[in-house]
Order: sequence, then C-alpha cells, then structure tokens
Amino acid sequence: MADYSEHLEDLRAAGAQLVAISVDDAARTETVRQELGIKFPLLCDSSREVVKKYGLLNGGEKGGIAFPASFVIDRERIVRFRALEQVASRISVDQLLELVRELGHGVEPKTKPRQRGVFPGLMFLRATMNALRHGVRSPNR
Amino acid sequence: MDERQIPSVGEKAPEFSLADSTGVARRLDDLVADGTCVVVFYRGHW
Repeated sequence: MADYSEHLEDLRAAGAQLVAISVDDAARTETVRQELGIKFPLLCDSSREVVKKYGLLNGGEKGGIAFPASFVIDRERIVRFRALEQVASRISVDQLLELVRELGHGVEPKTKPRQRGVFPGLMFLRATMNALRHGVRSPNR
Repeated sequence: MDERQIPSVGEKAPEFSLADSTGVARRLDDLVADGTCVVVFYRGHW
C-alpha cells in the first residue's frame, strides 16, 4: 500500500488533489479506507445531497447510489473534464487505486474492468494526467 | 439520473461540504484553493 501513496504523490505533484465520494456511511467507508490503505479523502454522502446536486443519483439501486463519474475541477471551480458512466456496474476503489498507480508510471493502464465500462475514468484519468502535466492548468496561476 | 443537471465542461461545479470517513469536513472550495481537484463519484459497497 505504500506505493499507492507514492503514486498519489505523482498526481499531487502534477497539481491535483483527489477525493472520492459515495453514499456509504462513515463507518463502512473508513473500514474500506483502512483495509485498502487509501491515502486520499473518501467523502460520505449518506444523505445523497451532493450526488443529487450533481445529477448522479441512481435511484434504481438500494436507497439510491451514485452513478460512477469523474470530474476535474479547477481553482475557479470550473469543470475542465468529466467522464460519466451510465452502465450500472460496480466500481471498486481497488480499481481506482490500481489505475492511479499505473498512471503514476506513465504506462498504459493494465487494469481490466470486470466488465466493459465498469470504470468511468480509465481513458479520462489518463487524459487528465497528461493535461495536468502538459499545461491545462488554470491560466491564473 | 438527470443528465441536464450534471455539470458540463466549462460550467461551475456545485459547491459541497461533506465529512470524510474520519469525520473531517471537506469543502470543494477549499479543495480547489490549491489547484486542480479530481472528484470521483463511486458506487460504494452496498
């Protein structure tokens, strides 16, 4: 798990912070966070307020969960990139971390989603990393 | 899912404040204060 934080640092070095949001409660999320050694914040939207605000509530699933989606948001809070995944597949934090780790190496991600389209940000996160590295930063820096 | 409500590229992302799993409040405005923020919504372990 040490290498996760190492590669998360690459993302940070590229100028980005990373947070993940789900409707899981804090206890459940914290268990997962510790089990997987996740070094970035996992935010808990048990009330679904933020998921709804972002138009991502999947009400067809138990109690309503988030449709997987990723956004890159600049310092003016403007969305610079987004990726949506409407396929009702499960996304795992494991896959996210594996991807972040591979991105840190600058190699083609080897992570194979369990199902086509399971992971929303595969191509997107690569583009994100490239963009961050090669200057799509906010111009007001 | 209401696609019209999902923020598009070029639009302002809705502000939010949520506690993380350790109880620390995280505001989007604070997160972007130092630069770009990648926000990932995931399905969770239901």
